[in-house]
Amino acid sequence: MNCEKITYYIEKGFLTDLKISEKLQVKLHKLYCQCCKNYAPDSDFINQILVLLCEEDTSESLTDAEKQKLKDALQKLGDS
Amino acid sequence: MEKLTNIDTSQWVDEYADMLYNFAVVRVSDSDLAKDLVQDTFVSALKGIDKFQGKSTVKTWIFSILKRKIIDHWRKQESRKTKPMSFFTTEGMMKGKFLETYSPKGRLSEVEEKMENSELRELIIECIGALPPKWQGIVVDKMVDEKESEEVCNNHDITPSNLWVIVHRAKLQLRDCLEKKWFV
Repeated sequence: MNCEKITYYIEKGFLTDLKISEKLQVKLHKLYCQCCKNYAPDSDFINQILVLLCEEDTSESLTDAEKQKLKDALQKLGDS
Repeated sequence: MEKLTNIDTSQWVDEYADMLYNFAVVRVSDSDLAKDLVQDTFVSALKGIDKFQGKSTVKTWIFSILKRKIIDHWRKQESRKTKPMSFFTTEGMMKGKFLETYSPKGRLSEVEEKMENSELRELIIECIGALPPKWQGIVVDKMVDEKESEEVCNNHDITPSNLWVIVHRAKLQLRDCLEKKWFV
């Protein structure tokens, strides 16, 4: 179960300052646990790709039919 | 300053529908829901046209309506009752199987090298969509839009330690999802 706690501290460390005792536990644990050593770079990678989603993007578009439906609905609303 | 006397709603659709749709689909991870939100946004914009005073651009104004709708959607999801989670106990959702279920291999960054941006984008959206609905808004607010923790906690009515726990859980799942979908 310790890995669960350690990865939680690693995550928390991205968001806020860790207590000294927490930092120490992470350091010590990483000395002998390859999984948790791997965790930080993976986690950092996820942070980076999530931010990419924020970029304005129009790669996916609505179909012409869907747009027409929207236009009709708005037209009707505007007329009423 | 833009003035809207004769509103051409068709032009709104041509100009903003795709942008709004892409913005929404990333944040709600559901294309049908995103389409509904786009329609609702246009409808609200048209109904509230009197309140638009041209202090901002039409685009900014319409986007602000969509953002409110997305937050409303998240709040609705978050207010649904679910079983409380207990962390760090053998009774928790991991049931002591942390290492068997999640064993980071440190290979995720290989994904990026091998993947087109648009593919990666789709994959992430899919993985966010697979998260528990209650977490999705929090993850997007904090990790996609990179809002301050304080603002995220206010938006979703959670404490900072709730936030850390949710981010940790969500990232374990995201990592696992990306790894499984990619390294098949």
